[in-house]
Amino acid sequence: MRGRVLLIVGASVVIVVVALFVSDALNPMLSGDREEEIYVVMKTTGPHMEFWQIVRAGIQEASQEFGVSPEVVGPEFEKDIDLQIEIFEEVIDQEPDGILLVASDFTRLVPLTEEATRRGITVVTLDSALDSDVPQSFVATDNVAAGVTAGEEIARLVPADRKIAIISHIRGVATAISRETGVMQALSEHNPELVLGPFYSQNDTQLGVQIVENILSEHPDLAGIVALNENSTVGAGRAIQALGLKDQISLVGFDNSREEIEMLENGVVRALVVQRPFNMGYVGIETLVRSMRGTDVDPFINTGSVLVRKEDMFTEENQKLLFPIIRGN
Amino acid sequence: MQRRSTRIQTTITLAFAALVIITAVVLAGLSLSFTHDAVESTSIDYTGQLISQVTTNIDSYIRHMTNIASVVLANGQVQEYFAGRTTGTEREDLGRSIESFLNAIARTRNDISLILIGREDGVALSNRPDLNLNPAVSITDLPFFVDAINSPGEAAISSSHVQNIAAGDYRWVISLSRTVDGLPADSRRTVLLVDLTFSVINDLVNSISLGSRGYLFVVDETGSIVYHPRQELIYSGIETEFIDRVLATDDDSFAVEGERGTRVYTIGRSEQTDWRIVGVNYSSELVQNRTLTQRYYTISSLILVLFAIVISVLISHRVSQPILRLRESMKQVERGEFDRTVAVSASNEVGALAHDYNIMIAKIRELMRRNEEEHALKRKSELLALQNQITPHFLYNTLDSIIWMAEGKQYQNVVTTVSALARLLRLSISKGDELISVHDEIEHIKSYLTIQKVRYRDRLDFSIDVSEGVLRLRIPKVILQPLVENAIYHGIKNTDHGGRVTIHGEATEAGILLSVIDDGVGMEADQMQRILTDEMNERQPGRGGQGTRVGVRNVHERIRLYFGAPYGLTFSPRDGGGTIVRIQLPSITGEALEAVREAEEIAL
Repeated sequence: MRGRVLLIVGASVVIVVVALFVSDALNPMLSGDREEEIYVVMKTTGPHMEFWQIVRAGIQEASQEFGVSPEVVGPEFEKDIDLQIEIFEEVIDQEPDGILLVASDFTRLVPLTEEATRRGITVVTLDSALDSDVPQSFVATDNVAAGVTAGEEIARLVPADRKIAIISHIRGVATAISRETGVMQALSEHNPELVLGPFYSQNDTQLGVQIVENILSEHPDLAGIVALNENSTVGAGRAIQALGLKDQISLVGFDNSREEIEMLENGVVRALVVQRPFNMGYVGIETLVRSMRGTDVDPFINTGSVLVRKEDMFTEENQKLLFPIIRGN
Repeated sequence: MQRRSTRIQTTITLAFAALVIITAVVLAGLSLSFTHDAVESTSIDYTGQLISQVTTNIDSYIRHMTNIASVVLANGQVQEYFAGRTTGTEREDLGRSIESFLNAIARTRNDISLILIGREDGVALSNRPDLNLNPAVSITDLPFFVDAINSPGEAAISSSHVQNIAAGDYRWVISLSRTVDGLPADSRRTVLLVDLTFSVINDLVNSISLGSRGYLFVVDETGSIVYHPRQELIYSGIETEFIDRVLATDDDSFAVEGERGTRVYTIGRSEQTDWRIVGVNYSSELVQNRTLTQRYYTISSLILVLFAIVISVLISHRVSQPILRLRESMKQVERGEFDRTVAVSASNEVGALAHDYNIMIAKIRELMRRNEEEHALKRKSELLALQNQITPHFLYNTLDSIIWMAEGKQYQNVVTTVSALARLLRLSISKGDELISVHDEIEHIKSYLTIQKVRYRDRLDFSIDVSEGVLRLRIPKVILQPLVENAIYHGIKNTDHGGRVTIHGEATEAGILLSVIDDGVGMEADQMQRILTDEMNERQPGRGGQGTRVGVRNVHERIRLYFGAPYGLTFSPRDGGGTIVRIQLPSITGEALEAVREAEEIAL
């Protein structure tokens, strides 16, 4: 008889405990006591790059949506690759559930990324590619597609018998290669002899100005320039402006610095290919969280780019891309 | 048996548990749905309050812009300047005066980005003297100008947008624009622009949080987004927003099922702008509270049920256990173990039952003990009676006397003796009844004395005097013979002259009194005392002496066995020598005896 009482009491205790566990298992997200630990390792955490601030706004928004609170770390300056490696190593030692990595170097962060994956950490790379297929996903602008967009626009603006110059930033850099490929792809119909370059501005505005001047001295009949990043675009724009050649030369550029926007508005730049940094940050976190929670994610996710011309600068959609930060007086 | 008793316990346990579980579930369900409704309505109310507060704030900004516009337009200098009636330095002074006026107004608040009055030909005055109009755009192409012209005399309020009227200056603003009235009919179209720094509204709306995932957004009447935290996602199609539905509905809220759960939209409407200020709550966040509440209720219900089960098990155990034990004891008693008592300490009905049962068992036990005792006594008494019967020794002596008398041709004595012996034997072998009539007992002793008298001839004489009233009463058989035998052997035999034995019988108040009186040698007082109490060896037949004493005591014992004290024998000396033995017996009639026998037969 005593045994039976004990049995019933025991069974009841088991029922209660099981019920607690079941209810726990039913709402692991809601109960909040199992929140995933996430780190975002940035290229730069400084306030001087608007692009990264917008990426972080996207990261913030996605974190709220997916119920995570990532720790954002990184060197202040993008060039500080050694510091980023050091920080990345420290982050891996924390053994978080997931890392969103904006790699500042194509190859040097590969061993650590592989180490992180070995330790069961989900890694997703953002914006900048890594020479490894270990990350679950790579979330970035499809630069080939962006190059195609720019190439198609210049092809639309420049007659088939006129010369087009391509000004890229640094030879062999991933974005440069991809954008060049895209532009060339879009200009495949164009007479190859009329496609000049690519020339490399070394990411230097002044050098960009010089390159345009040099090209013009050799090819005064130049009718179009495709500049593949911000500094190349600004350099080319300044040259055109200085020479008063904005009606002769159509310039299609990349990115959306204040100077570029002014050039777009006053007709020096005909169109800009603009990335979507907010979406990049948002989709980066979304992809990381999905992957951590067991959903299959695509190895590459294109967050897209938009071509903005003067006439649609201030459309509802584009003004938010061109002027992402709400500024007052 | 175990199973049957378990069923009592199980029944009680299940009934208890079912009762408590049903109660707990019903209560928890009721509280839960109540809590759910309360939480939901509270949070919708809360959202509604937040939204109306935001709406009020936005309206006050817009009202402020409208007021500024009114103040500016009420200034007659503006009309004067733009009507083009003045020229030269007078006009320049007027322009400067207006600009400092605009500047003064703008400086009353720090959220006014720009106040500008612009004419379609590009003539413009503003609160910022250093402002250069953007050469890349024509003022007539700018949305604020177009909107104002399209609604003359009314304030046109834009959505949030980047103002590009000033060269190299791109600010997010809300624009209020209005045509300047009171100008000559042929004058060029002139528009007043008041720009509100959008960051004030952006920060206001952004600072409101609705749960951890909820958000607020603002759209204008055309569906353009004034503010949305995920504007970029919506434009690029990553997210969708139910703007059309917000614009179409007249309700204050609606719910939308989505991929990541149900969203509850709460809509506020701005009076000044026709904007919709929309709060979006994820109902999963309401559910979060609900789930939490649900869990607490479930846990407490389970604990309650657990307690209920434990308690009902204990109670049913307490109730059924005494019954079980009672039943167990009854089983043992059924098997004949009457020495068992039921150890039930419960103070309830079952305890009382057990107590009564114990009393009953004790009574049965007592009855059985008495029954066995009586059986034993009866057997003993019968044995003693048998021992008092005629012994072979007596028979031999008698037959020897008869032979001796026959040889002496004393035929009369032979006849007397043989017939007496025959009667004696007949009475002895008569039916096994223990109780016989006094009459039969007297016949028996008369025969015995007759034989003894023949044997002792002149030395023994006897007389029997029994009253008529006692003859039909019943007494144990063969009680007189041992006493007479004792009187002869110890009283008369030892006298020189012989003696006389007198049997006396009468009814007394206490019953029957039979007396055996001899006039022999008599006994000492202590001898009389000892005769009934002393332990003596088995009677040795024919040896006389002590043997007859055993017979006397047997008689006493038998009477005591049958009737208990104070019945039995008493010895007393006879005046003039000899002994009187009194036999005190109850008065039992034959009818009474029959009745008792019948009752016994029925009981058996």
